[in-house]
Amino acid sequence: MEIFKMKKITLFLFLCIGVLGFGQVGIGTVNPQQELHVAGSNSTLRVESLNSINNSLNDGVNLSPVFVDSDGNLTLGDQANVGGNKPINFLIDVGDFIADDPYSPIILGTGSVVNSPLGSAMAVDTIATVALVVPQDAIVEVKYGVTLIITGNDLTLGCPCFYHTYDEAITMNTYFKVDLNGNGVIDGTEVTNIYGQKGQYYETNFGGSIGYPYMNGQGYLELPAGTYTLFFYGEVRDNTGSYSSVGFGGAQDYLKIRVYN
Amino acid sequence: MRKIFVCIVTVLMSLSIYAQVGINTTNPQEELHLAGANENIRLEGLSDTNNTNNLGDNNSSRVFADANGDLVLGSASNTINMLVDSENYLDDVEDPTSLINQTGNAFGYDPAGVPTNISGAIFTLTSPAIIEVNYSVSWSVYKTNSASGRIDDEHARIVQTGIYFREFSVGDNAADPTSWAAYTDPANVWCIDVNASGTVCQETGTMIALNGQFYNNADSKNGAYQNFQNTASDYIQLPAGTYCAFFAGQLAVGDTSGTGAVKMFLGSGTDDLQIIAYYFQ
Repeated sequence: MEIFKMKKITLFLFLCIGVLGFGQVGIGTVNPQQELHVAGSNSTLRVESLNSINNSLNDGVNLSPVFVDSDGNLTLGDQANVGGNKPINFLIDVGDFIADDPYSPIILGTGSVVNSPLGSAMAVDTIATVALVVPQDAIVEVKYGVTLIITGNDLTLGCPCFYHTYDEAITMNTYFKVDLNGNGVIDGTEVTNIYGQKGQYYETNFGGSIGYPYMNGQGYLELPAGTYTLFFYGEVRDNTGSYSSVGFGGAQDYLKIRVYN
Repeated sequence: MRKIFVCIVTVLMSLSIYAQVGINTTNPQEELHLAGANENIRLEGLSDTNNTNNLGDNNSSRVFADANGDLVLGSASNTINMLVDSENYLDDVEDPTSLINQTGNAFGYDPAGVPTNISGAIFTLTSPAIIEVNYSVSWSVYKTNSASGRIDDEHARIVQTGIYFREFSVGDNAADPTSWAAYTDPANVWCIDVNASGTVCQETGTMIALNGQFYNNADSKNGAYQNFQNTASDYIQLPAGTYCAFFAGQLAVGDTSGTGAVKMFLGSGTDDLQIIAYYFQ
């Protein structure tokens, strides 16, 4: 037993060469600057559990990105494993983030409706809110696509619908703001920080829209760790003599929020 | 011998019967276990001074494992791959291959457009990846391609476009991606090809990066009808395989009276497409 121990110790003699009294280990250096310091201009660390023989995630041809898991272990990216590391990280990936028919039981595919009634030249309302947890200080990328549908009567009341046929242009805008302080409303400086703006105009005389145009926008946010809410807005501008009803998000929308870390 | 023991005890290096090494721990959980909240490993071979692939201060340099399991730094091509970067992706023809014929109010999507450079459009993912697509696809729209062929009914129309992928399977003609089956993620299924009467879905697939814009015109001889572009950007996760990106589109109108079927062509102008892979492995 004693001999066995001594052999093991002999194996690790070289490790002790660079050991100072600070609990640091140096390899190829007597002055380690980290707990483990491997010196030499071509030095690296070999982890056989990550090689192509032992790890099916390493194909032996391409270099495999190394990640750190929640324990601090070095791992490779794993698509099959639900908890596996991904090459880029999404905080939110929602296929259809605005309910198609919120005015149940009317089934129209209206999405969230913003009306600009007679006497009003502009109307704006919140069309969706999305909560967001940012795990660390990060730059966050938001990409969205929101559909539109336009009629000349209030979509929330259902059909019969008639088209907006005033032969004048109306415009739609979408954008989002961020509730930074978590008080549930957009206030203070949050009001003027507008992201991902997109606008389109619409005009018709005899036949109106039945399909869904998309408002595609994107923006980047620099956020400290925390919980936030994105407020998406829909804006409608028309003549005061017209009634315009615009449904935002009545068909398949998308929202992808990527975190750069 | 005693000195060595002292040395080992001092650094709390523990040697278990599994030959595991702990630094600042007597109970290593891995072959090499660095305990402590601020412990780290320094590999000089990966430093800015010694390794040109280290981007230096204020940048992050990704670490990879090579075939031996050695930790190395990657060059740009290892981190992300530009799979497709085309300044004019679709063939600039206005013929049946690029045609979307609006019948009725529009019943659904139809595939349209063929890549100009087929071999350059086909890309292979060596391992699973998250794909980013950025595109602007051109379209033209009219009744007939003649001096007085423009749409003049002043009915608002909506041009919707999206991108989907066809995936090579064993037995397919490798040179003809139009014959490959559309890649379908069960969580995101679209009908990408509906028949002319809107009753039968002829093919399903996963469509991403949707965009839609309005078109309206009131003069049969005047008014632009070409070189519009729909633009979108999106992500999708794809398994390893060989793919080719295609477009599908839909032309919708609320009132079909007086004009009949309207022709829309995808790709008749310049189209920009970039496909970028972020590999898992």
